Amino acid sequence: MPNGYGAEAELDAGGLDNLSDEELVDLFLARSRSDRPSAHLCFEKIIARYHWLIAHVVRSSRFRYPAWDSADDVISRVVFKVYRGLAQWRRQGKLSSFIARIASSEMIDTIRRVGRDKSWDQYAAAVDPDSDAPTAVDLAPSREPSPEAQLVSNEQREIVDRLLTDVCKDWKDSVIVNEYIIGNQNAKEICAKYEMSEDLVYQRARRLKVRLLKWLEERGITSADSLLGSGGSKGA
Amino acid sequence: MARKPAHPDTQLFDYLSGALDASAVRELEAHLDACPDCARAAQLLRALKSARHVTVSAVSEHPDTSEIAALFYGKSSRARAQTRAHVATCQSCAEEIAEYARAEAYASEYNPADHASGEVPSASWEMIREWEESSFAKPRASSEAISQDLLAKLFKLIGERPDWLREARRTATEAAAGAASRGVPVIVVDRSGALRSVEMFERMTDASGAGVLRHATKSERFDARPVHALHEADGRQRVVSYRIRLDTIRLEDARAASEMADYFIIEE
Repeated sequence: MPNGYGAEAELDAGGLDNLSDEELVDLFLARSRSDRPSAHLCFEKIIARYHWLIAHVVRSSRFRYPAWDSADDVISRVVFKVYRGLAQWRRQGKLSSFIARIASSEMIDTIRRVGRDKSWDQYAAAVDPDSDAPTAVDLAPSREPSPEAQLVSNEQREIVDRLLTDVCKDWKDSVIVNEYIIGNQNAKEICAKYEMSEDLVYQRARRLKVRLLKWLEERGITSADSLLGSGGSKGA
Repeated sequence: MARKPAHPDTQLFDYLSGALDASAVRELEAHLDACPDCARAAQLLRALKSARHVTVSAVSEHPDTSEIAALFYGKSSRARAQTRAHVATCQSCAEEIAEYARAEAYASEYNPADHASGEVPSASWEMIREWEESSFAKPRASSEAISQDLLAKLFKLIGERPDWLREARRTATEAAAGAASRGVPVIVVDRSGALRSVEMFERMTDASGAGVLRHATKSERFDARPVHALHEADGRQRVVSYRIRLDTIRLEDARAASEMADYFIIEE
């Protein structure tokens, strides 16, 4: 057996092919407590069905993986996490959806880990540690704005955060605000990217515009100056 | 009397994004000159666009991946309002939502029969073996015990008799109507006491004459799990715990077996 345990499973491998996903997962969970070789056999059958989906989700992602953590590595971790997480599958949803969610989360976690390593520059020249010369870090200008500018920014941020917290009701609202209303994507690009219809983008955008303007008006923010200069009555 | 032209919502967004051609821009600007409502909306939306950099540059911490997933999969009560606001301005988190949307679209149309079967990668077996040999995969005795706190929550749940509990009992009774066995709902909760599902069991007598509850669809997914029977009579509360064997709960406490009880399985 490929699992390395070498034990003969008592289950009829051919019979497992005829089981539904629910039955196969039930059997996997029941056997995993007392009969691991059989549980592994069930798991092989599950992955036989869903490996293509996992590989497709991982390999067709817009994310690019670094050489030290390839798509194959991500797929291996997804399969492991499916094994570990099958007990959490709620039968109201399809198994394919549950597995795709695990695959997406693993990809996102991978890309976040890569992002955290961005500061490391492997091509930077070696510096003499005893040198008195200022380092690149010493010479770098501060990226922080002045205290006055920061105060204004904080007030603006607070208003915009409260506005979006109140106005966005679900993820579709959030991405339409992000990409269409305050971003520069067109509706066609958004529907391709987020798997929604063009009509939905327009319909939601219209409703969001009404809610955004109403929210601002109720707080006395009726002009760009009062928004950018935080001149509205914030306490409203 | 001439009708007032409709407000050009869609064109306004495209105009502010620079996506309109020259003639459409002229037409829209003519409307803005004549319509103070749209002019004010355009001004505020433009200001919001320019305020975006303020919020984006301030993003120091993204929501956890599980929060992004909860937002996408519609657990709106669990997804924090702050997560929705964050995704509305953070491009990288919006990209993550796009990944979930794309994966869900593949999953909803996926049929395993249409694709070549795959294998568990050897690296995955390595991880599985390491995990199984570690203590994480072994049953923990403490997790099987029912805490006083959880017990109090379960009794409170029963005491309040919410609709779903009544409905579960009614469904079980109806399902068993006319059958030799009697339907018994077994309530699955997580360790915080929140409802996960209701499983149907059938009350029957085994060959030895002992009372048993058997899973209605003979599912073995709860094999070896403890199940707790909560009895409440004359203001006194009592708990009797059993263990499920494959699909069956053997009610070894004869006295308890003869009393009405609400049965709970606590899932991790």
